[in-house]
Amino acid sequence: MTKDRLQSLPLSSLKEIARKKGISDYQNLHREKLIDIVIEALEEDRNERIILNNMAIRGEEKKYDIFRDEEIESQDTREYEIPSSYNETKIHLMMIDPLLAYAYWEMSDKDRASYNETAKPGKLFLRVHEISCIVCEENDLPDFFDIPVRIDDNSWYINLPSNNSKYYIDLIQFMYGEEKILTTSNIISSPSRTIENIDEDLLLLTGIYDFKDDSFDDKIPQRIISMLSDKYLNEKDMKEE
Amino acid sequence: MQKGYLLFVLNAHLPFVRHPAYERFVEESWLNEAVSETYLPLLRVFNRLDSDNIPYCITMAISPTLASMLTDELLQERCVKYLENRIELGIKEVERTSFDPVFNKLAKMYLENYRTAYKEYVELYRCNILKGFRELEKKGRIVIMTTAATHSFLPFYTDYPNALEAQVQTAVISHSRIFGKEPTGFWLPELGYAPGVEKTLKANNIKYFFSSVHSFLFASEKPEYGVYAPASCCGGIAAFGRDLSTSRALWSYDEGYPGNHAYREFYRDISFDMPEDYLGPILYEEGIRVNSGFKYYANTGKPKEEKKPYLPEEASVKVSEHADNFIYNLKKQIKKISSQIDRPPVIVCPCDAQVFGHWWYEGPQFLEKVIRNIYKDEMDIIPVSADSYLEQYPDNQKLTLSFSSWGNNGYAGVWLNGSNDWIYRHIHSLIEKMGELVKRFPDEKGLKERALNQAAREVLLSQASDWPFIMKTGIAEPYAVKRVKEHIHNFLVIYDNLCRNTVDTEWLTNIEKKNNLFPDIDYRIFGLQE
Repeated sequence: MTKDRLQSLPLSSLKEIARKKGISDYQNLHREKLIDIVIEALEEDRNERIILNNMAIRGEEKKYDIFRDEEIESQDTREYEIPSSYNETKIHLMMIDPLLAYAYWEMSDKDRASYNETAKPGKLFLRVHEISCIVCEENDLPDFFDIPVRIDDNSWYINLPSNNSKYYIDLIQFMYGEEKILTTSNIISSPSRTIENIDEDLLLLTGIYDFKDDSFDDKIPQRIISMLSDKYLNEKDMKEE
Repeated sequence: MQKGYLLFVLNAHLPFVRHPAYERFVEESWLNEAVSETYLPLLRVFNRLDSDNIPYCITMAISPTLASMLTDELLQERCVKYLENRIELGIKEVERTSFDPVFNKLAKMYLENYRTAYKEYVELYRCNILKGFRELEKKGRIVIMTTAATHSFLPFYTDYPNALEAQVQTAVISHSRIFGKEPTGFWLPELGYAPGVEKTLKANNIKYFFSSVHSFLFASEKPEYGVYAPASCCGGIAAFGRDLSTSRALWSYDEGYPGNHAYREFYRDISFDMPEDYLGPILYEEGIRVNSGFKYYANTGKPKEEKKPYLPEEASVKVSEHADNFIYNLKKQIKKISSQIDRPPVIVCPCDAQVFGHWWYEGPQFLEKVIRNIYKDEMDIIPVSADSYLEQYPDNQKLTLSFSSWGNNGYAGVWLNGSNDWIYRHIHSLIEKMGELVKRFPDEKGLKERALNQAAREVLLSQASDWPFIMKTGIAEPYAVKRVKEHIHNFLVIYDNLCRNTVDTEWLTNIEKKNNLFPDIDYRIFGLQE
């Protein structure tokens, strides 16, 4: 929104924008001051988007950016009802990055009723299993850790302890002194974040070159990842001419 | 001088947006802007180069949703009206700015742009610009590949082989019908790759796809050629890796070319400066303002500071400098890489097509200049297609690539986070229920078959990566939320009807008319079992 555009709006609309942008004390501000503060807030929002998103995402979002910060409701005013759940007991695990996964689950009405009758509050949990191979031998003891959840929870972001591993989750109810597995998820494979035999050749051949000011002796993958998403190319080359 | 190959890839995609019940619909502007500001200018550049016998090779992914919209009569009519509106506004703008020579010149430039676009769209392409791309492909100037049917982020569906198959097979069938030949290449939406995706591609006769740096960097073994030669994945399908440095030069607003102060600014548009009564038909219901396309300022000044007017002559000079610089850096890069590997590197530069023209106004001019300069430059840089590269170098290192995308930090966080995670429990449920319907109704005909086919369309439409992307970026979020809910709702109505052994014909006909893409879809594609 430009200053001109904001100036054309009634005070009530300006205050509504200020409220949505989290501007404190907007009720007591004069019109001109309010406009200045809203412009600053919009600029901050835009800068935040720029910082948080990489160049591919910033470029791609411009395809949809026809409103210039205006918050537009859909012209389609119909309400499309969708269920909150599907009366099934199931859990699904999704990979976000090598150390973060997302699980969503639901419990059928029957299982939920059973839980309410038999289990004490706080006796529902996720058991996150880490396995080194999909087909486990009988004597294998996979690692696991538990995350307590509430009956009204239905999703969780899970920090994975290690990359290059496989995981699955059980939704478990603790009842009558025993654990009952309500449902088991799919298996996900977290990708590797470690690079074997990293050297300057590999950095050159993956387009991450011209690190004149950086040392790679420590070979910390996290540093390389951050360079990939941020400063992988020194601009000296472009400005050299 | 070492030689190297340049594989330039443009991804042309928009989600399926079509609202026949409304006289005009705001989000349909996405398509009209893309046609007038990117696709027609690119066709102009490609045809000019062809007329001048300049050899070039550009690879384009044209998504099935975009192709469906570009061949849809209703949307074609609306595109004509859009262009007529802009011409009308242009005439007013030329008059309004008549006392300001700088702005007046710009107003005349835009008016001329829209008149040219109108003439080309209506007279040359008869409202179907895909004809232009098809002709160029026949001449061997461009290669057109496909992508997932509704541009879904495929790593989220690797546990659902029937969904992967439906996305890929529907895309291949749709592409073959529209372009008259089967695609050999596949654009992974958002460069989203996870092991297993290539199996579905291979089963649909795809020979190559493109992937991100992370896929190669964290591959099963050290990639001998890095991203500068394709990897041979499971089943022999080739994966080309994205080069970051060329992408950065073209994509990065801060450090690449598009943000230069001489270039036209994307955001400042008269639609947000002028009073409502002046804008007239540019406005939507309730005074909703969208870009008009008339932008008079250069990339200068912060919001509260004075911006400098856009000067096309200065921008043209900068385009030449940047084209020279791009080639200079490319040659340096080739020289550096060639010292490390035993074959000429292939530098893959994938971009969203709408970077050129829509966002970076001078982008098509830049592309033309680069291609002309490469031609003049004794062919040290050889424009190449993936097919011709693979003919020359059929044997490539076998690698298992890693899960990745071109999104933030190289993974999936853009398409799965707190703003959009709620959609996946529904979409996955729809896929499961669609598989169940295929089992229950394996050989339906007539009305039930129509209902099942529409159910398959709704499942595919719900999976578009655009909706979670828009929810994450916050632009047009209410629309994206509504769209996902609409497709879930439509599917569940059909599912419920079929369970009750009844179909509401009138309702079904209405949604068939609205969401009318993939006319030859066969719902049984969701029947694939692992």
